[in-house]
Amino acid sequence: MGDMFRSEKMALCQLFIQPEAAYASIAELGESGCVQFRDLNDEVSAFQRKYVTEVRRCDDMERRLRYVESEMKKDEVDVPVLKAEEEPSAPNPREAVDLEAQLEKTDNELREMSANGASLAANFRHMQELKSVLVNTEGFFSDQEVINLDSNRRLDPEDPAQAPGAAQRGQLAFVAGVIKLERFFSFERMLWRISRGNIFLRRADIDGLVEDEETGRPVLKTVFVAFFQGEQLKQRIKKVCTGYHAAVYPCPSAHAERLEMIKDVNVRLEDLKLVLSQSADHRSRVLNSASKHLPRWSIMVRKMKAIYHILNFFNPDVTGKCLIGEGWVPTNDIATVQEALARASKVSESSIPAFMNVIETNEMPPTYTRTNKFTNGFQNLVDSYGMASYREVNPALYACITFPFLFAVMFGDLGHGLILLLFASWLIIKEKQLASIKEEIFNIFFGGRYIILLMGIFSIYTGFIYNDVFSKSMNIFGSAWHMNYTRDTVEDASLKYITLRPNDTVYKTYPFGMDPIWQLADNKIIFLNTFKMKLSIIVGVVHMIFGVTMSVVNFAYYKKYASIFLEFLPQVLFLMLLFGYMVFMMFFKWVTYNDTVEGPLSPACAPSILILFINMILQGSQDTPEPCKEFMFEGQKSIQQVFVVIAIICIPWMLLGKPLYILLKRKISGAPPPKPQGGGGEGHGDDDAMGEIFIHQAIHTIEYVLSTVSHTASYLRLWALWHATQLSEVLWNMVFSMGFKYDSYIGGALIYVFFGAWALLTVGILVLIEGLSAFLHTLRLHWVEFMSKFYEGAGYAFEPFAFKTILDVSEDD
Amino acid sequence: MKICGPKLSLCGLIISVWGIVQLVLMGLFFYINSVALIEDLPLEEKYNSLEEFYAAANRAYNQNAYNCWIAACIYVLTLLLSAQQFYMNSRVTAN
Amino acid sequence: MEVILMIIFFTVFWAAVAKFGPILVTKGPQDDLVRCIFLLTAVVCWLFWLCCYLAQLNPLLGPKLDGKTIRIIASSWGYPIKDG
Repeated sequence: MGDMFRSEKMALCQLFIQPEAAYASIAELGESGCVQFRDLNDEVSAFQRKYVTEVRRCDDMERRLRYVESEMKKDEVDVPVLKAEEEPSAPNPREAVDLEAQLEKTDNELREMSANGASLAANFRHMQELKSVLVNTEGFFSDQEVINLDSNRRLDPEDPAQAPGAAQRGQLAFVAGVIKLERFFSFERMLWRISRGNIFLRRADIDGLVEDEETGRPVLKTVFVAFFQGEQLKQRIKKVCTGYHAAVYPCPSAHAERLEMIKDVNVRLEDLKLVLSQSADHRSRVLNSASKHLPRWSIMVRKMKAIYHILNFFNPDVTGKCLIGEGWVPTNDIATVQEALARASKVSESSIPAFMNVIETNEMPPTYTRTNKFTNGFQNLVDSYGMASYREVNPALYACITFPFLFAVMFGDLGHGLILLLFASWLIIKEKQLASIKEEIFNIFFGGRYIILLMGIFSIYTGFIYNDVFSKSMNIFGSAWHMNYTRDTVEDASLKYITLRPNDTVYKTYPFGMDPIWQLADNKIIFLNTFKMKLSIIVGVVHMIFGVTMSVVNFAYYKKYASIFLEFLPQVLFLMLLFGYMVFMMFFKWVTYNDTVEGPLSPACAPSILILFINMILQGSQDTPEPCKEFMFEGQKSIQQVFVVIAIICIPWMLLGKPLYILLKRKISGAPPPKPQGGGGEGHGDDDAMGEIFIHQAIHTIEYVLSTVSHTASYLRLWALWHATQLSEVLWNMVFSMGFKYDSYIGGALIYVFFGAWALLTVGILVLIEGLSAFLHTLRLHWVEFMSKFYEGAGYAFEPFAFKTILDVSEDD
Repeated sequence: MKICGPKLSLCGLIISVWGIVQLVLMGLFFYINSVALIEDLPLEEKYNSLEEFYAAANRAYNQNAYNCWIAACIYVLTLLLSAQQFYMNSRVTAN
Repeated sequence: MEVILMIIFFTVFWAAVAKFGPILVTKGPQDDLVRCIFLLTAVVCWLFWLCCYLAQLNPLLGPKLDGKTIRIIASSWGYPIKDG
């Protein structure tokens, strides 16, 4: 069968590539993405490999790219999104050099600019602060004139040359500056303390927020002027200022000088503004032109790095004329690989073409299943249990249908199925637009859109059979139950309920699905329970027999023909003779017992299948009143005894068959005594010690026998989960139905409200939560009950070297 | 005028369409005295005669049919409102 | 007899789905997959229908209905209540 039946055949290939063509070859292989390279330099540390310098160069370029990108983010420059078809290929070495130079240029330019910009901005800030100091102190000094401290004016207290010479005791000096408002109060206390109160501090808040030079965040600042006496105090105050990160600015005490200075500062501020705006323009020009290339650059650099990383896996030939690499290739893709190699040697004009040969190996190849967008979701469900062993039967193929079907058996409701179907159709129709959404929970649903679609379709089918539309039934083909009651019977007040008898009515089975009359019946749960429990067991046993049969395909493929007789045959006999027979009894009871006859086949005599089954196992019997019979048909007892005996024989058959077969084979071939640790032969267990084989087989047998019982019971979850769907009836009666209880037109408004509530709860609880729980139970039924019958799942995934996956992964980071 | 955001208006759209389809159909089923809906009717436990019961059931069926259609009409209004809101929202994001 | 016919009809129907369903899907590289899917679908749907049909073939108990349901069924599904 096709692609999904088994994983692809793989070949271990050896590549011989000329060193000058190596880069181009790997680039081509990365584009085609069908080789998984093996590291041949496992023992060599990362620093001693051949292409370390190149990898480091790429790292360097990546660092530069990151810097440019972060600068762009800071300036909110938009980076154009590259379309898939515009993606550049890996740069050839000459391009790589160009790219490196370009990157370096942009990077350096940006760094220089930002350094300059930072110093310019600091300058600008200082000027602004100085200006506010000058403007704000104006008020303090005119105040001082009132207090008559005119001697102050003769001195420039900031001028150290003047200060000591002209200092007179009793004269006031001052320090002016800017400090953050939040620090001001503690600053004020500190000054007060060190001067023992001999200080006079004034402040004036700067309007608005100012940028903080350290953090760049906007903060409130204030201008202060401290008046004091004496040189010693001045030194201390200056120390306190540095301690509090207060910027001290020179400020002349004379009014005219200050005016002069303000003018001067204003001119310089204007100049600085001009320079700043020009450099900002320049910066945005550089960033904009870089932003056009950035996506291409980063893809090129990433590809280049990936190529050198892979080249580091290669071994140099002894002569040094050739690089040798090894990798797994799907046999179907060998031609593609060869084409890629040919193209590469043409491009790099190497004299000797690269060549590839397939080598024999005992190693287990990786598992690779080609999927499309439909099968991908199902394959993921199976793979998350365990990657299939190489060339093992792939359960995902069957899960495509059995998974939605088992889900629908639990979920079955036409209305809910329709909601699922519409949702999935929307996801599929809008596939292209929605594929770009990167939200995690949405992606889970989006990835499983085809699973949801099939779950919806099957739920509609099972809903139709269950005759459930939001818990109401449809009478399409005409109910099978006819009645002919008289007025007396119907009007009899003593009869609260009337139970129809199939015998009394002209009964014709409802052809498709559940008879709609059961929806209205008071005893519908009793009837549906027996039906659905039997249905669950039937579906489960069929599913498990199918699973066991799959193991034959595996045994045949791996040429373990003995296992078919020693493992599969007893297993399937055990299952069929016990539970398969139980399923047969269910069908038999459905067909033979009916209400139209008297005697041993009447409803009163119908035996319970479960009790019959238990009696069959335990060899018990039960008393039955006349005219009933204990068994359903002649000779049932003896058939059952034979079945049980064969089933019991199956147990030692499973337990001893395979180990004895191995023992016998070893005796005949006269193989050397088994070593305790067998190495990499086909199929482990063949080289193990005999004791281990026995123990292994004993565990296997016990597990199978017990699980046959427990797994069959486990399928009853199909019935149990269906009970949870009964919630939809409760919801209808509790919420929606309230709207119908009014005898006037007000009911219309109430129906409006209750429908809204009912619709939201239906989607939220019944479809979403019940759907999820049914999904999980279906998953379990597949993983445990179905796959345990044949699936080994001991493989490892094929991870080819492909640029596509590398780029996708780094985009997600 | 914008009252609700894009998500709420979309939700309103979906519920209204669903509501119109389902309520029109349910009105129809009430109108033809569908048996499946008998449990939802406001009926007494006891009636003196068969005719009296049928009259009451008929009245309840018809009343509920009209009520369903009224609710469907209100959902048409909701649909228009949601559609207008949805249009406004999509125009805002397009700009 | 009717029962047998019904079972034959549905069996033939689902067999036809399994046989001819894949034709509806355009031919492609996934031909085997499509065939397998249709076959499995037919098998599970047939089995499901069969179980439901056989379970109701010979009902051992009848529905227990209350008075108003009986009266409504009588009038809506057309089983007139006779006087007497």
